[in-house]
Amino acid sequence: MDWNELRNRWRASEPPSPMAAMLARIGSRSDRLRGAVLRRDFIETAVAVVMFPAFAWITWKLATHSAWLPFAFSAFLLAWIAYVPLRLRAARRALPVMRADLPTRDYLAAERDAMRVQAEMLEAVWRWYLAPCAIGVSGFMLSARGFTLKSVAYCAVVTGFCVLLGYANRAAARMQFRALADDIDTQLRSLEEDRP
Amino acid sequence: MVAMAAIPVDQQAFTALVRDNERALARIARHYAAPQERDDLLQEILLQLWRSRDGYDGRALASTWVYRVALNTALSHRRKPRPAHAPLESAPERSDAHAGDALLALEAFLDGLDPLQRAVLLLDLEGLGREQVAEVLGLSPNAVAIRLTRLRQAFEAHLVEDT
Repeated sequence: MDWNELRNRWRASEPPSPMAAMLARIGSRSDRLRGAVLRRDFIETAVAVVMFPAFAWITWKLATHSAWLPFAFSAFLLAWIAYVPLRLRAARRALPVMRADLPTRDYLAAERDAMRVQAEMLEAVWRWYLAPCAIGVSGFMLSARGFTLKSVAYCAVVTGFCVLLGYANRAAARMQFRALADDIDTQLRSLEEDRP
Repeated sequence: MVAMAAIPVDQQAFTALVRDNERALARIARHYAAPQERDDLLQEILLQLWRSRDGYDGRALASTWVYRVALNTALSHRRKPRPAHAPLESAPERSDAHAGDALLALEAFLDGLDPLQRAVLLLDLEGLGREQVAEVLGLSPNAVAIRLTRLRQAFEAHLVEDT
């Protein structure tokens, strides 16, 4: 078999490609994706900006009425509302940069590291997002309304929802990101095998 | 593939660069995505090329840069979740090929390889030298040579089995 002839035939093959239409749209598509990222950041911040003054007002009112236990939980929620968008941005900044034009070995290593960082982020969600939310909301509700059937049921629903989300995040970290990181690691090891 | 000193920044020159590599990019998409996902992968490759163009430092050939972006994007694309009914690999779609055709057998052989071995053989078929394949993948030229020898031997064995 003549490998050069096969190579020539290979290069002569012309799969259909809708490249022309794609090229015409590439600049605007890139701008749209950048816009989607900016919108996501804006929404995260906007939610905090809307909620923060409302809780700040409630917290101040509770302090003026010397309702110190609800005040403490409200202040805790206030701090949490301010912290969440900052934490989300810090987490995104911590992701390894994945430049698509790296040599494949380096790109795969960066992709694997990014998967592991994302898995760690998901595994930690209960600590910085769900637990403070459940504790703050439940504590505020029970200290403000007392142990009524309604308030206890409300707290149970909030806590149950947070626990479920926590499990879902941990499952996604394990089954999606850690599994993919292991898969990439196996590929990287196979690349190492033939090194002279 | 076209070798250039720098990656063009404006749309017109970028279009020309992609046009020069259009067939190679389509062949990469064909071997890394299921038929119904090929356009998505091609679009993703173009997007990554467009977004990476400012980072090109001129140390590698433009074709090396194009292949790196295309292959890395294709490898990542394979990891995206997909519906259970969408198999990644598929039989080659060459209606003009007859049974026993070496090119048809090569297409099937490529699709049976793991994604990185496929990349080595695919780059060789695209006409890249060992040094350039090594630069794209981040391997040594010797490692590429060893892999290529093994892959060609495996393909020849595959071809003998088929005929």
